[in-house]
Amino acid sequence: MEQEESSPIELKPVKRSYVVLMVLGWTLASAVIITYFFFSTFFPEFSPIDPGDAGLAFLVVPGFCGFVTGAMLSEFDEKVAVYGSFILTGMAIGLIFVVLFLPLITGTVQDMTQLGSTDQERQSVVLSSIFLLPISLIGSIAGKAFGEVYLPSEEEKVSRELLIKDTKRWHDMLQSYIREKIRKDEEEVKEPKEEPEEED
Amino acid sequence: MNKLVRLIGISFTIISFLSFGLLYVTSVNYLNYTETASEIPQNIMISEVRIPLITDESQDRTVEVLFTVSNPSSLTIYVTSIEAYIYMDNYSDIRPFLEKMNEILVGVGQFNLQKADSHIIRPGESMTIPVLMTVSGGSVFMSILNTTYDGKYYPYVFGTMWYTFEYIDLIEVVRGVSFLGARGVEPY
Repeated sequence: MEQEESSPIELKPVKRSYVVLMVLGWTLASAVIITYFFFSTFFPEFSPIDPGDAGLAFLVVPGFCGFVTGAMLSEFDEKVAVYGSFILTGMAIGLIFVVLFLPLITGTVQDMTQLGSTDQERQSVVLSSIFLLPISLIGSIAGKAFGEVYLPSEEEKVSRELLIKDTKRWHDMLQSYIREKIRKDEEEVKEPKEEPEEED
Repeated sequence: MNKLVRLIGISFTIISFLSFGLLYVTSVNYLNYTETASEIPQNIMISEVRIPLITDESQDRTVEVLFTVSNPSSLTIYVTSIEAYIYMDNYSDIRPFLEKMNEILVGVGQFNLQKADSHIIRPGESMTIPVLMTVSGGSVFMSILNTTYDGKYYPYVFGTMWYTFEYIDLIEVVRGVSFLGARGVEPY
């Protein structure tokens, strides 16, 4: 039996703390971008620059941020990208609420009626923020798929090549084994074993 | 790590930091606006109503209403418009104000300015803004204005002020700024 070749690269097991750190880092970065565009779309007069069309904040930005988050987390399992999009949405909604009620939190005003936003505006923000989840989730899954196909790490590339080589080697071995077996069978058919004569 | 992933990661981090900066400025503006909008109404008053002594009702007279506005907030405000409804109480008519208000209205004093020409009140400053109203001589309004009791005028003034901000493109309105001249106003 041929001895198995040892891999030239050893794949290190991914630490859970590293995964958590990566997820938190990229989702926070995404949540900040989403919060800015979301809040400034509802209250453009407070933004130093024009935040653009509402569609940008509601569809494009959450989709883009989810996509990048998924792509950046593509080295991990699929479930990490999915959990990442949930965390991203949670963080974004949390940040939006913090900014919306900042005057109350800081004690600048004591009453909801004194806030710089109306009840109707706040209701719109709350209702619209629900749509962040599906959009960022779709973006995240798409980003994960894109990252896996087009953005594999060097380690991943080497391991894939090794896997291809291994698979090819096993395939060749199997082929030669089958060929050998067929040859033996054919030989047996051509030269049947002499049956021992029966003794009287 | 893949070079393209690194490039995307760095670009995304830069976008995130820029968004954080913009979000910070936006939040501060929102906070300051809320603070200003809640404090300004408590810091507007009609400090004085100046009415001249009317000896001849056929001559035009100008009534001056002085609005004193303090700005305790952290935003500079631009007072663009003030409107003042001036009524002159007639003590011989004992009906409540709401019933006789249409008959004792003298007129409306107001000004409307562009932002560039408006009254600028910086944080921590106060300003007295005069609102003038000229009453035509010989008109019915002149006779309403020339209503005194014990040699004093007893005016009611209800004002509305519009103001805007330096960097925030919003117009705020403060209604119900009142002057109830129960102690009377000496003519000058």
